[in-house]
Amino acid sequence: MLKRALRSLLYHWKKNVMILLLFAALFAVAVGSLCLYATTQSQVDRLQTALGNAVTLKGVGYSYKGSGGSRMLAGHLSPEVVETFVTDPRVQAYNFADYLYLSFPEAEGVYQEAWEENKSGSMFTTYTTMGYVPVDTSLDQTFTVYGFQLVEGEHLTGATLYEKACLISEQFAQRNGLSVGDDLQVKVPFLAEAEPVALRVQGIFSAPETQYQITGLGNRPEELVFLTPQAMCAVEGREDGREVAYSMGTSRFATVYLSSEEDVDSFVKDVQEKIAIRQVWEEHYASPTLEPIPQEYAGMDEIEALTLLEEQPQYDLVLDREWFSMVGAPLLRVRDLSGLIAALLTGAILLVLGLVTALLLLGRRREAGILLSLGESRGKTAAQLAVEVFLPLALALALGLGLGVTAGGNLVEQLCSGVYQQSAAISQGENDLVTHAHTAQNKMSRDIYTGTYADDLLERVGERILVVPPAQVQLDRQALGIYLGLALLVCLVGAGAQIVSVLRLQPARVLTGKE
Amino acid sequence: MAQILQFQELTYFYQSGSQKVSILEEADCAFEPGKLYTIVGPSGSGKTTTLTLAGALESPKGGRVLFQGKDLKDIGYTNYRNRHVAIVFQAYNLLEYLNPLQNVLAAMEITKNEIPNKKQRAEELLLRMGLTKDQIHRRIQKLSGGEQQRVAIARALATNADIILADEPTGNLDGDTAQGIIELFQELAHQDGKCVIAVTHSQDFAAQADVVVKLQNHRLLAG
Repeated sequence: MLKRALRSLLYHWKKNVMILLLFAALFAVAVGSLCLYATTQSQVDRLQTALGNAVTLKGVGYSYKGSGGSRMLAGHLSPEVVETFVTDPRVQAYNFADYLYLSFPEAEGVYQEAWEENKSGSMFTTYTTMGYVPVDTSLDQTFTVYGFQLVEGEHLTGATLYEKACLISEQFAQRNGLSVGDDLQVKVPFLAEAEPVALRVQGIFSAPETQYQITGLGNRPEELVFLTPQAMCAVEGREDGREVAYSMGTSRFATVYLSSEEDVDSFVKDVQEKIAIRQVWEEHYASPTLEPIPQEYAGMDEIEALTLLEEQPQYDLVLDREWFSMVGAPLLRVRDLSGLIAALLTGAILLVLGLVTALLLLGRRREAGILLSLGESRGKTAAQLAVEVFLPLALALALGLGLGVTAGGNLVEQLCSGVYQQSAAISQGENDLVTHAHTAQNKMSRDIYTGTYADDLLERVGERILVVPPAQVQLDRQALGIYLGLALLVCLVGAGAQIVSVLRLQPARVLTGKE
Repeated sequence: MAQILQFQELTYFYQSGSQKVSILEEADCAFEPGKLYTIVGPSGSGKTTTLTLAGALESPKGGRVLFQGKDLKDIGYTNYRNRHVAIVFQAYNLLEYLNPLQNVLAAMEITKNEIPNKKQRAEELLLRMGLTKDQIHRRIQKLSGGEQQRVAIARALATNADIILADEPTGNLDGDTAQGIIELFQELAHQDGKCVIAVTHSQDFAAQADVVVKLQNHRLLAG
C-alpha cells in the first residue's frame, strides 16, 4: 500500500510540488508572523520591566565652578536609604550602580594603538577605561535598553555581589585571548601604590554600535568593563564590602523594578512617607543629573558645602513610564500588527488547507473504486489516500516551519533591530526626553550608548540617542503547538469527510460512469 | 456440475428523478465453473449492472447473490472481490500511476490468494496478452486502448480468481486480437475450470460461448 502511495505521489509530482511549495510558503509566513509577534512581545515585556515598572531614587547633586574648573557636589545614597527603598513586597528586583577608572597591568586596551596616538588628551599615563559597577547587569539599562547583549557566560547578579568578577567585551576578550573563567588583572590608574586585583571573567558581551570616535580613551561601549561591587571594593583597597548589597556609598541612583505597572503610584506614595522626597519626576530626562548649586550654599567652601549636603541629603524619585510609552509605542504597533497578520493568516491558511485537502481527495474516488474492485479493503484504500494527502502536507509543514524559523527569524531580527531603529528615530527624534539620555545608575552623566561623558550639564553635548532594545528572536512554542494542532485538525476534517465518503463508496458507481 | 454463482430472485432498480427504473425483477440464474457465459441484451437493458452485482460492486435491492451456495453478504463483499472474482471493465480502470507490470502486480499484492513468483507470472501474463517487454514498463497513457484492454485482462487473470467477469472485453480490439481473447477465455473456462461471464454486443463472441444468457424483460434467460 505504501509503495503504491509513493508511486502515486511521484506520478503526480508536479501537482504535489506545487502544493508543497504553496503550503510551505504559507506556513513559513505564518510561523514568521508568530515569531515576530513573540519577539516584539518579549521586547515589550523587557521594556515594560526596564522602564514601565521602574522607579529610580536619585540623590540630588549640584555642579559649580570651583578652583580648577567645573566641580560637583554629589548627593550619594546611604545603604540605609537604599535598603528602605528596595525592601518592599512590590519590588521584584532592584539595581544600582557605580563606576571607577580601571587600567590593565597585563592586558591591552581594545584601541591600544589609538590610545598611543591620543594619549596626550588623557588624564592618565596608562591606557584607562571606565569600570561600571551595577548590582545586576541583567537589569541594567545597558543590557535591557541600550543594546548590550551577553554572548557568553553569565550576568553579574545579586548572587555574585560578593565575588570578584567582571564582564568584558568581545573585542577586549579577543584582543587579549581571554575566555569565560579566566582571570583579568585590574588596578586603579591614579594610585601608583595600588596592587592589581584578579577578577574572574564571568561573561563576555557584545556592545552596541555607536557614532563616537575611536580615540582609545576608554569611552566607547566596547571598552567598558562591568564589575561586581565586591570587585570595586577590592580594586579601591577597601577592606569590607559588606555594604555592597545596598550601596557602595558613592552611588547616586538606585532603581527598583516593580511586579506590575499598576503598583507604581502606590509604591511612590509609600516611599514618600518613608523617605523625604524633594520631587517626583514623571519624565526621566527632564531633570538634569546635576543642578546648579542653590543659593544657600553661597559663600561656603567645599568642605562646608559637602558637610551640609551630607547632613541634609536631597532625594528625588524618577519614573520612566513616559519613556516607556514613547519607546514602546512603535514596538506595540508592530506587535499588534503582527498579531493581526498572524491571526488572519492562520484563518486563511486553515481555510485553504481544508479546501485543498478535500479537493485532493475528491479527485481520487475513481482510484478508490479501482482498488476496491480489486478486493482491497476500505480501510487500506482510505489509508493509501490519506498517505497521499498528508505526506506532502507534512513535508510542507516541516519545510515551512524550518523556513519560518530560520529565514523568518533573521527577518524578524532585522525588523526588530534595524527597521525598528528607523521608526524609533521618527518617534523619538523630536522628543527632548532622549536628548540627554544617560543610564540612571551613573554617578556622573555617563552616556554609555554614545560614549559621551560630562560632569557638568552646561558642558554636555546635546546628542540624541535612540533606545533600541535588543531583539532576541523568540518563538512561542505553545502558540506554535496550538497552530500546528489547528492545522492538523483542519486537515483531518477536510480529509475526513472525503475519506468517510470513500469508506462508503459503491465502486460500481464510479467505475461504470454512473457518478 | 455444482453451481458456483447463483442469482436468486435478484432485484435491482434505481431512481431517476421521481421515476423508478427497474433493471432486474426477481431474476434467477445459475452459473457453473468450467463454462464461458455471455450476457447479451439491448443497450441500456442492465447488462453491466448485472455484472456489477455478480462482482459485488453493488448491493442488490432484493434477492440474493450466492457464491458456492453462500450469500455474498455472509462472505463479505470485500473478501469475495479479493479472493473469488476478477473484473475486466469496459473502461479498463487501470491505475494510471503504475505501469502495466505494476498494475498486474498490484492486483497480485492485494489478493489473499497464494501466487508464487508474482513478478515472473505478471510478465508472462502480459506477454501472453501480446504486449512487448518494452510496453509492460511504459506508462499506461502511452498504450493504445486495445493494449490497455489487454493489460486489464492480464490483471484479472493474475489473481487466480474462480470467476472472471468481463464487460465488453473485445470491444476495442481488432479481429485477430479479439479472437485471441475469446480463445483465452475458453481456455480459462475449459482447461482451468474458471467460470467466465462476459457482457458483449459481439454476435461472434456470443456464438463461441458455451451459454448465452439473454437479459430480457428484467429477467435472465439462459439459452
